[in-house]
Amino acid sequence: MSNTEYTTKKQQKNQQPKFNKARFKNRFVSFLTNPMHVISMVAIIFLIYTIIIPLIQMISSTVTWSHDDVRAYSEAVPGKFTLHHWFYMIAGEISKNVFYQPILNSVNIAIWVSVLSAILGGTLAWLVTRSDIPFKKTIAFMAIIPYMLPSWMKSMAWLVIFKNDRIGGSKGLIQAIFGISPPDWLSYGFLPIVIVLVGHYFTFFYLLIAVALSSINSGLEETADILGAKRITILRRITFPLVLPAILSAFILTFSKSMGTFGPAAFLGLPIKYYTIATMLYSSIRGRMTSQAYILSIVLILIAAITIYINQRAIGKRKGYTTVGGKDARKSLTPLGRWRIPIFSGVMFFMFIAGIFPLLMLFLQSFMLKEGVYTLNNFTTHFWVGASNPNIASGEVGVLMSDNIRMALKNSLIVALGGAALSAFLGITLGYIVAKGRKSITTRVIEQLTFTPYLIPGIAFAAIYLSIFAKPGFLIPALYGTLTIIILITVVKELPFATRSGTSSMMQISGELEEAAKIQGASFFKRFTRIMLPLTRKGVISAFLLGFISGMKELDLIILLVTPKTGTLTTLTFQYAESGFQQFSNAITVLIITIIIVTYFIATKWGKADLTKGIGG
Amino acid sequence: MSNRKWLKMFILSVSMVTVLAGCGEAESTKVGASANWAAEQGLDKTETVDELYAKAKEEGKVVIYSQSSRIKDVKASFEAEYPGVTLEAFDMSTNEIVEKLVREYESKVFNADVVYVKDTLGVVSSDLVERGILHGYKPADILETLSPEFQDLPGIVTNATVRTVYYNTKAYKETPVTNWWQLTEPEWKTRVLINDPLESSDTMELFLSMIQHSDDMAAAYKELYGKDIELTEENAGYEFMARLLKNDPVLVKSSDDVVENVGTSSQEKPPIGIGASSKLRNIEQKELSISANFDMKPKISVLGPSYLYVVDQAKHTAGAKLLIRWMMGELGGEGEGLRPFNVLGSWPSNPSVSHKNPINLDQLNIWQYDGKYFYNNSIKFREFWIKNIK
Repeated sequence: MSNTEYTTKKQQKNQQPKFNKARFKNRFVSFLTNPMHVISMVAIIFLIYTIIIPLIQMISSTVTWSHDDVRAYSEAVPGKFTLHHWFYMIAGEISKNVFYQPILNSVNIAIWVSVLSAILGGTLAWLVTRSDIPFKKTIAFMAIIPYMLPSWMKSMAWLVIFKNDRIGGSKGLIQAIFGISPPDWLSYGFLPIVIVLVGHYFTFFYLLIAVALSSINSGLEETADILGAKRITILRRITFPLVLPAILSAFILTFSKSMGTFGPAAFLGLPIKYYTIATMLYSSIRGRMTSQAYILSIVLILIAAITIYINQRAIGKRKGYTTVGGKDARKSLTPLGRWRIPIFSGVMFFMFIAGIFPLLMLFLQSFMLKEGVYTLNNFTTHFWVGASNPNIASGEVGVLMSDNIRMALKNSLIVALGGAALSAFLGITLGYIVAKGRKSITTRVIEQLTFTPYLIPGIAFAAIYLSIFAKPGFLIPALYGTLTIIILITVVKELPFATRSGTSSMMQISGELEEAAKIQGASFFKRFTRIMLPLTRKGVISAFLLGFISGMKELDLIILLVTPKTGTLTTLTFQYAESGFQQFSNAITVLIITIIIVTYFIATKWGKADLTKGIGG
Repeated sequence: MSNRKWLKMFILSVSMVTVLAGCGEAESTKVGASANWAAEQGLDKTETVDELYAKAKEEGKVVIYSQSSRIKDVKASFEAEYPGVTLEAFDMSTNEIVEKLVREYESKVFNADVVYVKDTLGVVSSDLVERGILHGYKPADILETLSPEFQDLPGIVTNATVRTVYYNTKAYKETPVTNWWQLTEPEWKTRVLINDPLESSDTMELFLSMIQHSDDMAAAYKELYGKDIELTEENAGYEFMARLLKNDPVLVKSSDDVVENVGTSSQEKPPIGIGASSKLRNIEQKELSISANFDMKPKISVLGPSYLYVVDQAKHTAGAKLLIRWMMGELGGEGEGLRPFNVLGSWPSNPSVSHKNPINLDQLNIWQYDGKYFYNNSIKFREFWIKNIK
């Protein structure tokens, strides 16, 4: 103990105020020199800036009159406080159609998607980890493909098959072959939206449950078996409780994501006027009714928050099981017997329709001059390498020849690489704080804050970012029109995954290692870069990979933020699709998916990345 | 997060909100400044092409935000005609252009020099022009050649399109409907495709015109059924909307979808559809059996003009003026710059310019565009539409 402290202690009895000041200063200095605290403070400031302020802006604009309100409400004064928007949405004349019905539809979709994905993903995970099904590696890879495909693309594929004559045009495959027009409920609305989304999000369940299952020592189950427990009892009493945290974790991810998803709901809902929160929200933004849009997003955030709360209560104290022991983790595989081949075929068939088929359709259509005409002379490479021909698509050149697309490709790569690298780095840093200071309030605040962006629908998030970062403020220049703002929003949106991944990687590292280094006099920086980072390399690369994939296929989030010079490949596909040049749009999508798959291969082969680690399993 | 923490956050946010809500801005001074800028730049003058070209060459380039992808054809012809001036052309939807202009104006980032847009429910004329974000540039020599209805508008008009009713020519020798009220009959239940008015301001403008001219709609009803309409809604226009929605029309995302789904040859009972007349130009390329009806009772549509404006604080004003002249087709309107927009389904604003349509603009039975009315009534319409869905 130092002398100064001793003297101050002595002074304490005589001069109370002076002592306090010195002690306060000391504590302050030690607080500031502790790297943990400094990083925490910086992290919190960053999160306040990128998450809290946008949220407050969002809430504030729901209770203020906006410039656009003036044209409809004579009493509106832009900038003044009002509760009108809330009353209007919750208790107004159109509340049912603009508020309650969309919410009901979204919740309905989210529940069904979560339940069905859990069954599907869980079964698949069990088959791959616990049975003797052949070609496990192939199945494992194919299970990830659906996640790489944009979900609106799968909606298009659905329509190719199940379209009925309600919307006219060329016939769907079913109608063309069997001559029956599928009923509306099969072609559009709730059912197809759920199916398409299940085809997308079962991956979450599959990945997380597979990890949980493979880390359970099957000795536990075997012991129960020897003790005479029935199979169903073992499953119910041992296996299920052990994978429950993984299931609930995947449930949260799937539930919140499918609540706010836009693409499939827009494509498959509109023909029968089936609206969800996300499509209503989009339409509000288009109609310049931003306050309504923000109210819908706040509701979306609240519902998701409630789900998470219930979830956490449900898991309670059983949050973590130590399943990795030091002993033998031999796994005995359950033989499928004569069902082995039928089940395998079933799985392959499912993988084919969920992942390969939409991809093939897309690829094929990018070579077709006219959609739906399968004759040889209708095939062309024009949309890939063609020169300008005024008779086709107003003279647009092939995607591989276009300067515009080259620029978009460059932007996409910058955004995806930059965003993924930054978010992986931030994730591991925040993960370190969360893992090391598990009980303090700061870390809990950080943990909650980083999950928030997950709950904010991309399009609302973008609208807020646009209004905040369009003007210079808070020492930051106007970011609108730069790639920086697009990277920033990608990073923030990716934080929930990156932080979870970082936390779980950091949790695995025993404190002893760092303590040993500390005793040897290694600085914080040295400990972090020489011990923690190398040990969590796999997690970092996986978080990077996940960030890269979402960065490459992100659309909702950035469509409002791009300027002509900062357009990315995805915004181009959207533009081409809007202009009716579907083939260009398809060709670019194929390009995007190719880049993703190649990166995935590189990352898994040489970086030993593992997507499950990226999700934070 | 525990309940108490949520409460704390809530209180915190509410207090922040009240603080933020206090911030407003005085807009009147800004508008004045922007009007001065317009005068300084000579946007009210009519200069010769040579003068403008000389100055534009010093500026080096012009930037345009265009609602049409055909702007790249303009780029080719403009740069060929005026070497030394590059045209940076960006193709976006009108909604995006409006959103961007407002944000860019607020953040004082001035990217664009010229915009090529429609009025989008009056937002451009009633909001952007009023606030001084956009300025009209109407060179007198060109303006006087335009049709009278385009003389007194805030910006100069290149061409105009309408909404129209499409029908499949394989299934119908001639148009199966001649009166809007027919669309509310059982025969067309679930068989009317509409480019969703919540997504397309053009469709909403057509519907708003029916409401604005509800007397016309009532008269058309009487003409068709021989009796007066019994109203359950505010007026015959809203009545039509309500009945149309009861007939379960099918909403689609774009006029391209309308044209494609109506015109595909292989259908036994094809629907009819309401979409942009300019999509007629896609017919040949896509081999559709489709035709557009240009005569509906009481009127086929509202006129939808496309405008050219100069953006406030534009950096290349001489280039902007030169480009606007070029896109107007120069004096006489026959220049290359207008050609990409002078297509089937679109009428040039200069009546003496030859066009590709079967009838002239002045023969077309249409309502005139009233941006102010649309601007003030679009929210009400949106509410009505949403309320009556299903």
